[in-house]
Amino acid sequence: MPATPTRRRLRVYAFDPSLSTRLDMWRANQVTLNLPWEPLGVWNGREAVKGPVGDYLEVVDVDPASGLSYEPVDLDEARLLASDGVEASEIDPKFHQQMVYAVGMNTIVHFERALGRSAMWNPRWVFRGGKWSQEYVHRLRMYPHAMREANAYYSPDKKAILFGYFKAVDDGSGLIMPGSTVFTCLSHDIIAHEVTHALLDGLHPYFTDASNADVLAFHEAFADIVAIFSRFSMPEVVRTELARAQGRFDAENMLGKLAQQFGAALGKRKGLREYIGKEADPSLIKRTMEPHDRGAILVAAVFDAFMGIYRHRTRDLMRIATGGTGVMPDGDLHPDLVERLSREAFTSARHVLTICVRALDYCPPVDITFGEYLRSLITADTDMVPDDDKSYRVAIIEGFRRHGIYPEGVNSMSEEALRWERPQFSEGLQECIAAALEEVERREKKDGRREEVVPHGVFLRGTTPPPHLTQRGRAHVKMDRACTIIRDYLLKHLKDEPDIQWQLGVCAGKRTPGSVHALDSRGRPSFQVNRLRQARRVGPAGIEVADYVLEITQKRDGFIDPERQKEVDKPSRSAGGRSGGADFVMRGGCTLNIDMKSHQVRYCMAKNILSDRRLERQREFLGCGVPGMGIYSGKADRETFAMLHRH
Amino acid sequence: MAKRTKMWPAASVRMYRQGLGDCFLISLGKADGAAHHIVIDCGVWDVSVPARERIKKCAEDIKTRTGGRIDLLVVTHEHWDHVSGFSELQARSVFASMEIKEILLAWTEDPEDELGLALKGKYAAIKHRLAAAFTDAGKAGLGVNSGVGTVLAAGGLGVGLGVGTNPSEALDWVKGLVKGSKPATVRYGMPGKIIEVPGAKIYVLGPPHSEEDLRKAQGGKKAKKEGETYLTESLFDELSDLNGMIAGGLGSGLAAAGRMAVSPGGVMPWDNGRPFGGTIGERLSGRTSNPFVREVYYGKGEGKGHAARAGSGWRGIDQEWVSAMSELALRMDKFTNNTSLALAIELTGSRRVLLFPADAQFGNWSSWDSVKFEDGVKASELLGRTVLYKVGHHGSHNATLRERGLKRMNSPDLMAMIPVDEAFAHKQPGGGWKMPYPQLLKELQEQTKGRVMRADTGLPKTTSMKPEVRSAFKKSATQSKLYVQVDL
Repeated sequence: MPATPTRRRLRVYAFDPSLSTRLDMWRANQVTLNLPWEPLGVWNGREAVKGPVGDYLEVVDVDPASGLSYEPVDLDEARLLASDGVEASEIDPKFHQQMVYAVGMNTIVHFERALGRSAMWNPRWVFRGGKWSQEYVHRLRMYPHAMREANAYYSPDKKAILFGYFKAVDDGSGLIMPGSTVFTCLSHDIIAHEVTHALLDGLHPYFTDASNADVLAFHEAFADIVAIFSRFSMPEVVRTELARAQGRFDAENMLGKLAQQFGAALGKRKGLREYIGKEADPSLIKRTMEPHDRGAILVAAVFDAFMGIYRHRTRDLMRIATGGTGVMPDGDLHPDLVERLSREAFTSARHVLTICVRALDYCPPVDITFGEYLRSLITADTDMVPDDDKSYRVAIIEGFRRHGIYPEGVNSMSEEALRWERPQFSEGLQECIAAALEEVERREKKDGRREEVVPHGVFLRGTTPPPHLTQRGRAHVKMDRACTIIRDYLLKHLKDEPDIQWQLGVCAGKRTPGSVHALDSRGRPSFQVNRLRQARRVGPAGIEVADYVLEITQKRDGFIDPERQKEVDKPSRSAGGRSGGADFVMRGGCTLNIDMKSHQVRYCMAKNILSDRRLERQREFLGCGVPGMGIYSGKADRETFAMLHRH
Repeated sequence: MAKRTKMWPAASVRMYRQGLGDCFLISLGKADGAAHHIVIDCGVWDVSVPARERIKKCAEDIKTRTGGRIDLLVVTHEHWDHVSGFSELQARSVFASMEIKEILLAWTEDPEDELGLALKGKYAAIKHRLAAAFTDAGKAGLGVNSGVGTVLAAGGLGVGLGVGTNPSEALDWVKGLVKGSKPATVRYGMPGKIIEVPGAKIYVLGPPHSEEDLRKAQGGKKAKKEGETYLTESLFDELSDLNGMIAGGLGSGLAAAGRMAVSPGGVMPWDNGRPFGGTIGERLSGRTSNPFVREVYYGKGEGKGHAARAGSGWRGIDQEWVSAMSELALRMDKFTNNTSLALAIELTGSRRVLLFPADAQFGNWSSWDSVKFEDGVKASELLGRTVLYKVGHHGSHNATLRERGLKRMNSPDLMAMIPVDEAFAHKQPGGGWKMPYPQLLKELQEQTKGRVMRADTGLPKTTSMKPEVRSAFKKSATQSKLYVQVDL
């Protein structure tokens, strides 16, 4: 029997179909993605049903708005295997399915490579047997034709991405035929953007809770960053753009334009067009509140950093090519030069993407701000590359500074000041955490022996296979178990030590204010240990950092009226009771980076649940018009992204 | 009438207790001792039989008290909770048996107002399309997103409320009174207009004669900074792209599915129901012959905990396109609230003001400062002399302005009436509506020294009022099962 293939090649649009009718672009617009091989299909109890369902994604092509469903593409069919999948086409739903699958997987691959471990989708909350619990979700679902609307969004409730399609209106660009159908599922950028929302939601579930102006903006920005830089990872695209530049060689402009084209099909991303690669305005951040526009400022900052890095990396090439004058001769560039420049752009993009993704493990679990993200970027990169000889970090800091993004509580924008501080944990707390982790490792060893081995490549029944049958599912179960162990251990030893708890940003036991959810369903003191992840990262110099990333969170009832808050928080009330009727939810907690070998806590990014300043900030923010607030109820709408993207 | 020997007070205001909705009777004392009766709105959300009976009784009480003659009937805007009383379903017969002398409507209803006509045309088209779409969605067995249904219904997008609940039909009946055997005259309120009636001058504050203002359901960032509305929500409610959205395939989805008759001119000539043309695609149903869709979408293969449900379970998207329409309808709803006829009724002599802003939201309130009255009176003065404030939109968070609204009502005699049914509002799907909004209620109580009258709970408790106002208030206010009344 021949060996299983290792790669699957699939054709997609690099941009969207509209560019295929432009003479200068059509060649670059058709690219072939090289993806890891995986068996596709599901088992229905009797046989394998072929269709675009893999280990991470399931593409389901139903179209309720038209009352139709479309036949699934069988990518294992011999003719498709021999021709890199279905030919790019607007009028073949099978190509649409292939495109969302391929671009989705490509985004996941990029993300995982940077993260250094498997990506997980956000588990689903279910109410069963009288209590809420989390249920493992194995695959993200993708609906290429979910609705007839100029919208596409990730639904955190359904763990699904819904792509709409609509009749194009005349936008005056001459690119799109008015009255023709625009399919959002055929835009590389939209797919990558939405998949990244889902990936980020899996990593940081509370980043959809708009507790300050930066949170949702960060979600949007991050999704754009991953989408833009995965576009730079397509060598054909970068090469074509650079070659097109000819004598008026202005790579910066070209790369900027490439980023600006992002999402042009829907004509929504005004901010990106206006901010990227343009003169930065540091005061803009103070007056821009709409999540996409505010997010675009962060994207622009990261893009500036990327350009700085690229410029630094190509300085020598430019000197060689221009004989030191810096002025390019007229006419086409030498193909070798184009090749070298595009390789540098490609490498810089990959590095920036890696840095951006890695930093996620250094972010606090709730209430993220742009400034904190900057600190995470710098800290994560210092861990991996202590010696910043390519001045990446300087480029990053400069990019952020130019756009007016400053973190709170640091006294300078120097690298040292921006790095997260080493935690000043008391010996007791450090020991307690180390002991909890030892307990986890001991139990894991014991359980490990009993663990059954799953044969690779089995078709799984249904779309939510039992977790123990899949590798990621098992990792999830293991993590769940570990979290319980750690929480119980910490609570047992810390429940009446508020002066220790505050270092973790949480609060349990006696003297807890009434608005803090510090009791579990059985009335025992509690906070949540949400995630314990293993992060093994290898830097370019071969430095390996192996960390546990531990997330602790807690909820608190927030009231718009400070008086009411005070009353609920009165010490006389039973500690940690649930007060009911809250206007909003405030969250606190921390992310701990703990060395895997020594169990020493290296960093602690905490957000104190009792912070009055944060409470006040959230109150103020909620008053200023947050998208997704309900009409009359004041409750947050669940389809955060549907609202955000609906124009 | 002859029996009544007592003179009418300068003004006597009855707030009826029919449920969540507005119905007011203002009786202005005339020089000859008789009264000039003004009715402002008559409606209730609830369509249950007990609610119908209640509103009928309210209408009958109006008939008794006015002797069967309404001098001025004001209808503020076209929402079910303000006009349901004029529908066949509820109390039309009672009103039909009365003599109605004059009608006052907002300029938006004036057939000679060009902007009014343009808006009507523009939004009516959208509304009709939405209404048809929702009705058909209902027939197709698709629920409208929770919470949205009833809101839509109030705007005439008849889904949740049932047959005969069409507010525009009810309003049309009122307009038709001009053609009866004893025809009523009709007036249209334009901001800046002063209408003189025996015992009072009525200043028209809104709706603003500007489409832009009407679209503002919320204050922007500036309003937030000034602490203007009590809680603002997102600003996505720009209506300018509505037509684009419709053209962009909203209603077309229904047409395509064969669930809506394609109107002449074609909602969607482009795909005849199949976006890929020809024969690509199979009808979507749980009995599909497509084994993949059957297995994955309809979940026939899901384990025990996942009962195979028609409609595809928690990940299904059968209803997603309906929710897009709901979103649109909600924006329409706010727009209609902003078309509220907002009135300041100034009593002759004392010059004290009764403020009736109906359901005006941010855009309406914030336009008042630019209104010019021919006698030079400013909106801020009217607010300063307000002694009775009919709280806007049943006390919701965005229908009372703070700095340019409530804070300006600084008369020591200020009282407030909230036509609200809190229990009913809380029961509404989607987590209930915060009516009255707690923070607003608190500030109202402070500002009025506790003199907040509510349709659901009646007169305030003595203990919740400041001691200095208690005895005077007790003398002027009364209540029954049917109404809360205050004499000025």
